[in-house]
Amino acid sequence: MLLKGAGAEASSLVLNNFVGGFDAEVVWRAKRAGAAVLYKANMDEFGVGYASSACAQGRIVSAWASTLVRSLKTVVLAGGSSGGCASAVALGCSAVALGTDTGGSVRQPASYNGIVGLKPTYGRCSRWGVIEYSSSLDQVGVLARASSDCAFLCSAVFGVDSKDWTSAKVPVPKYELYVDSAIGLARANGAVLVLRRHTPCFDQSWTYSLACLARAGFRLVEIDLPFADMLLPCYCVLSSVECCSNLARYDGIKFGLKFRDVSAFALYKKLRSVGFSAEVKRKLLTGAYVMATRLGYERYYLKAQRLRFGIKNCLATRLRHALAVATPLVSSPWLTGSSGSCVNASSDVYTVLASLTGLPSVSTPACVDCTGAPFGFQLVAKPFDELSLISISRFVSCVCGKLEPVC
Amino acid sequence: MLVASPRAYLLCDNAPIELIIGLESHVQFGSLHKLFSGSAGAACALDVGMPGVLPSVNLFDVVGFSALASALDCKLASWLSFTRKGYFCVDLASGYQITQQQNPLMSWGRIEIHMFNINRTVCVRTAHIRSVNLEHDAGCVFASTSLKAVDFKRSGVGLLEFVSLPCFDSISFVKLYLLKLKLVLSSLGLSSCAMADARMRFDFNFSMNAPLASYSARTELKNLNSVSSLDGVVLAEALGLRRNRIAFTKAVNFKTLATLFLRRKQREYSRVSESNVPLVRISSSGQASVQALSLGFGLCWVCAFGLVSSFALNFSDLLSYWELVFSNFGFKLLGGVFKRELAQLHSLNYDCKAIAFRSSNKGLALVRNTSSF
Repeated sequence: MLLKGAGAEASSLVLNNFVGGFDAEVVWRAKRAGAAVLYKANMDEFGVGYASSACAQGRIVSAWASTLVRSLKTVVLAGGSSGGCASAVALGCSAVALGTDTGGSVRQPASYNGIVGLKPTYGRCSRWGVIEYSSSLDQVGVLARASSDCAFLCSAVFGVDSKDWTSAKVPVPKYELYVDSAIGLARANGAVLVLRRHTPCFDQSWTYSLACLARAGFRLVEIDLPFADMLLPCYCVLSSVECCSNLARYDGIKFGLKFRDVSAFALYKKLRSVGFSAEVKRKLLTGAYVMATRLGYERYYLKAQRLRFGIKNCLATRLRHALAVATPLVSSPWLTGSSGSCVNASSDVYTVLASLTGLPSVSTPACVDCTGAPFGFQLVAKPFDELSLISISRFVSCVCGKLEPVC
Repeated sequence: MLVASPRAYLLCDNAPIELIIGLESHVQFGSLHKLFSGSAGAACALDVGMPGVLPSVNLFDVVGFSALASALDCKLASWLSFTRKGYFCVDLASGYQITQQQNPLMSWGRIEIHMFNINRTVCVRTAHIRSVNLEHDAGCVFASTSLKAVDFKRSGVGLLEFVSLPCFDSISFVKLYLLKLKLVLSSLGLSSCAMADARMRFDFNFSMNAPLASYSARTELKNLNSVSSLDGVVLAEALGLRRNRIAFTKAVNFKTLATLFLRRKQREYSRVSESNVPLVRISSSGQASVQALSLGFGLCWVCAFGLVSSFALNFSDLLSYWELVFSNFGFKLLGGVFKRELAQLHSLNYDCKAIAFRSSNKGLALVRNTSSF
């Protein structure tokens, strides 16, 4: 996200010494509402990553690392890609933070750090000033320790922007006024759909979270998502193709890290070999492979777009008479240095549901598991229904209590 | 006297050889603002490819699209979608050009050209235009002995790309077509079409075909801004092209009339849909006014969750959007969804009698009038 006068390197060598010339729209709106920008946090390079291990300035350690080092005997990572923001908010360095969520980049670190992470509906707020990773999946998200703080920031930054033609002209309520009172409406509006199959690591924590929801008065209905095995391949294809397209602008000539060479082709080769990390290169090469031939374009990219439309409609049907879908958020309870270095696309399997469909989603901290690591679950609601998500999150935090790392 | 005209051919060693020519003409249309950045003349952050900026469609001061559609005997599209054509070049700031592939501004137009022969006969030839696309221009590369630079002032200027079918068979036909296109555009006030100022340039695609004997692959001569020297260049290339089986792209040096090999013609460009500019509605009145349906891709949400009345979308917009979605995404995927949306709209007191479904071999087709059943 660009901040006027501050470095906007996106944790990458390619944007070395690049300074933002203007504030991002969400930052400008937050400042207009009275916020003060304290710092910019470390992150995975260009938002590509799930473990906060692919950062130019070094890996990001979770706020719960010192709590968990005694039980796990290893240092846990913050989760990605907005790991820096999540750790900072969890440690109390700031009240709220803004990050970008493409496939769970706000919700996953929020879960690993025991805070609230909200990804709004696609088009809810402006992406002007946000360094792009995947244009049809990126959305600005909010990280906060308390749902009421999240509500304040949401009502300040959401809304249509004429500079971003993907932003929706939907009125933005003052969430902070309705957070407590909306819970009654939310209960009456429908059941919470619960995913029947889930990762076995989380049996106890997941059962406890469902018990919290039941205690809150929500009717729980178990469902199966028949298209669940199509989510990850669809997301991988679309995000890699769009990443390849958006990152094509970094050529080492106009801004950022600059090289000199005899020809343009040699220059591109040198910069893009040196400047990008292995994780980003993997994404770029996947996107280039998909788009290299007409067969690949039709077999992968067009098919992924059609699947995405179908998945959206399937979920719309299920959510028509329900309030939200509740799922676990991550596939492993913590991330260590070794898990961060290996290639694992399946960590995003729950969070890409909301990213592909463009629906709002929140990561709500529920409990601490037997090793002391925080556990959060995900709620996906109807479009533009962030109020229900914030109010349920607030109620669950009242029931479960605040999770604070012991430093 | 009006006569019919067969395809022209060349004679080479007493054997007839056909030239099959297709053209892509790029015309800068007259607008004070650049197409996607809106800046007036200077290169802004979007034109230079800076991260964090987003495109928007700026066609507020352009008049004449519907007149152009009438002149080309085709319809102006009601919905536009944009695609990114990606390739690496120093003058392309973002690494991709925003153009149109699936829903162009106009499709399947034609221009009739009267060709006068030496024996005082006239034949009417038709040049078919496959599509007219909106796209933006790239920068301008300057190269001298000591300096290689790119001028981004031209980057982002709106272009109309006229893509023709390979219906041309002679250089004279091509010249007349280009002259007539210039006449149409300048009389409509869309562009001055001054080739010397790079307001109009064209790409010349041609291949050789010895009927029933042999063929050659296609060669493209890019960014030509002069028709007068085409004769020498094309004929020289054509003679060398007879046994060519590999498609090439070449540039032309008009001082020496030599062609310069640029690259082989394989899958040169990657095409990705432009997600930052949603489906754009263009009105059919004389002035192009652009109304972005910001929920474009998610309009099914609007229908599904009963929010139609809140946004004051008119019904014909909704219907034309659904027709577009059907044509792009297929019927099987959407038939059931649309029936539910129809029920939702009916409950909101919209007049749904004008819509019906017709089953065919291709699946469900949306028809507007029940009388066409």
